[in-house]
Amino acid sequence: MTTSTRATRILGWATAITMVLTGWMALVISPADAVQRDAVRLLYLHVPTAWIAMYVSFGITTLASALYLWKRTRSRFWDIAAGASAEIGLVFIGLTLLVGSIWGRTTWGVWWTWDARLTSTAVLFVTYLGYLAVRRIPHEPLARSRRAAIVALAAFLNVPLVHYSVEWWRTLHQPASILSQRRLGDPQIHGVMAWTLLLAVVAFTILYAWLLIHRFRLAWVEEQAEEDALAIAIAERHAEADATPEPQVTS
Amino acid sequence: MTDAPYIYAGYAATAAVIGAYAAWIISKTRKLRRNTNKP
Repeated sequence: MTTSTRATRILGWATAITMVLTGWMALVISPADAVQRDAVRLLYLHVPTAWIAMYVSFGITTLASALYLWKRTRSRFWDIAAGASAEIGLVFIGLTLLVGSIWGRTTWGVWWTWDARLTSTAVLFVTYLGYLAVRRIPHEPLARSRRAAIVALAAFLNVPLVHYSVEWWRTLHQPASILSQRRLGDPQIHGVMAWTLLLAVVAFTILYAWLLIHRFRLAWVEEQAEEDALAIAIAERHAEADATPEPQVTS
Repeated sequence: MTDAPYIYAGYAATAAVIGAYAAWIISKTRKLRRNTNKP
């Protein structure tokens, strides 16, 4: 039993190659920023992990949860996909906070500040941690999956709040350089820096896909193994009951 | 490079977290494979 196929091995190699290229572009080729100096190199990690976590990982969790809740498309596939994607999103958003904190120390002089963007992102992290906890609460599988799917839909409400936090409030965190209505046609990043960021986004997207396939297959196989173990245990109890002699009834 | 320790710490932490997560998935898969292969 394995979670690897020829396709995932190719995806794994693509992840490794694009990651190494990203590291080389980010640490060697990309110039230092006029304002942030070399600390800008941390943004090649901070931005892609944030984007993939919020818009891809949590987006897929929401979509899969909605498909699970809809009776016509309800299947174990969507429930397991939602959980796998959320777990990877949690790892990525955790990295966003960690690398952002290091960047903040070099640029702002503090590891953390209760800025609207930082606070809403921390809330997002805790919310999806809660979602994964809900998935682990022992209960009848169908009810547990339905409950988790509802929590996933509610958790995603925080994503637009995080996205627009830099526009709705006066924040220390800089506004969006690319993903905003004002910036889409006129991004505030150019040349080698823009290409490095693009490559980093591609690398983390491939990494996400690789992790998702493996995590999904692992969860699927785990569930099958649990069902098999339960069936074996029930069969053993039945066999024990059949082997036990009937008590003698005396009058 | 200015702020080099912070920058390298950021890259090292990212590699460590992703590496640990991927290793956890692979080790769990192998463990499951061993258990299910038992007669």
